[in-house]
This record gives sequence, C-alpha cells and structure tokens, in this order.
Amino acid sequence: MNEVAIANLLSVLVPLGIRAYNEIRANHSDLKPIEDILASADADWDSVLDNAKAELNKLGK
Amino acid sequence: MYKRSRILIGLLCLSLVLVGCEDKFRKAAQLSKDFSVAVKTIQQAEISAHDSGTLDDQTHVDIQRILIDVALSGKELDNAIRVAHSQPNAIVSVKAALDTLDRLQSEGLVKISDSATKQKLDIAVASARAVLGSISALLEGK
Repeated sequence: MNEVAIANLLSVLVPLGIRAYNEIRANHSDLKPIEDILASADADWDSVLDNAKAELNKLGK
Repeated sequence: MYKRSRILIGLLCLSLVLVGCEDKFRKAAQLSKDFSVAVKTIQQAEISAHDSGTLDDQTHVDIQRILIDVALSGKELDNAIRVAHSQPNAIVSVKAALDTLDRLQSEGLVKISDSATKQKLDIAVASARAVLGSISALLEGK
C-alpha cells in the first residue's frame, strides 16, 4: 500500500487531542502545559495522545 | 508445460487475492480518515457551544476528555488498518471506537440541556458512527 497516498487519520486526531487538552487545561491550570506534553513525546507523534491522557489521569475520574 | 501453467494460474490467483485485500484496507483507510473528520466536527461544534455559553465548563471538560479517548481509539484503528493491515484487529478497533462514541453520548452529551446544541452534536456523533459502520461492513465483507 502506498503510505503516502493514503491520508493518515492521525494528522487530524493528534491536533484534535492537543486542542482538547488545551481546552481542559483552560479549566485546570495545574495540568502541564501542552508544550511539556509535546516535548515528552519527543519526535514520536503517535505518543502525544498517550502522554496527554496520562497527564489527564491526574485529574481522576 | 502443464505444471508451469498451473503455477502461473496459482500465482495469478494469489496476486488477485492480495490486490483485493490491499484495496479493502485502502478503502478502510480512506473511511477512517472520514471518521477523524467527523470527530473533528463534533469537537468544533462542542467548543463553539461552550464559547457561546450554552455549555457549562464541567460538561465541556468531560466531553473534551472523552474526545481524547475517541482520538486514542482512532489511533488504534489507524494502526490496525494502515500499519498492520490486520482485519481482526481493525474489527476490534472499530468496536472500541464505537464504545467511546457510546460513552461520549451517555457520559457527555446527555448532560447538555440546550436542545439545539444537543441535536447538533447528536447528528455529528451519528455521522461518526455511520462511518465506523461502513468500515466494519467493508472489513467483514457485508
């Protein structure tokens, strides 16, 4: 399969997750800034969502 | 000569099967992109509603948190379809994505009191659900 020809849905979902995180952080300033989440994901674009989720788990249910 | 023909026919059949599978995953990948766009529409509609004051902060946070789970389920779906080309994993991922949409409805959208906002978001969720249904039908050959 031509990987380039098929648009990757993560190109939509990761920015969506970043936006969601920022919206949540606007109400919970104790959460890390998104820059820290992105930095901890390093070059691994796929792990941004996992890192954001892990940080949000600190809020509890 | 006869043996060589049989081998050639066998290889041709195998190629056709592989092309068919690839075509199925290609279509599924395109549909999964549609799913992500539908989820983005849900998010945009929800943020607009919050910004206009029709949604309280707590409901807004709850919905955005579930949207991150929806995005994570989309990541699994992407992995199964585009990377692993695994039909069983893709079917499991579609079901998981449907479950997160159910949660979005039952734990998030149900708290919305403004009927126009709720209706708009319900339609957007139904759209995302329909795309997942199409992916499922495609993968299961229905």
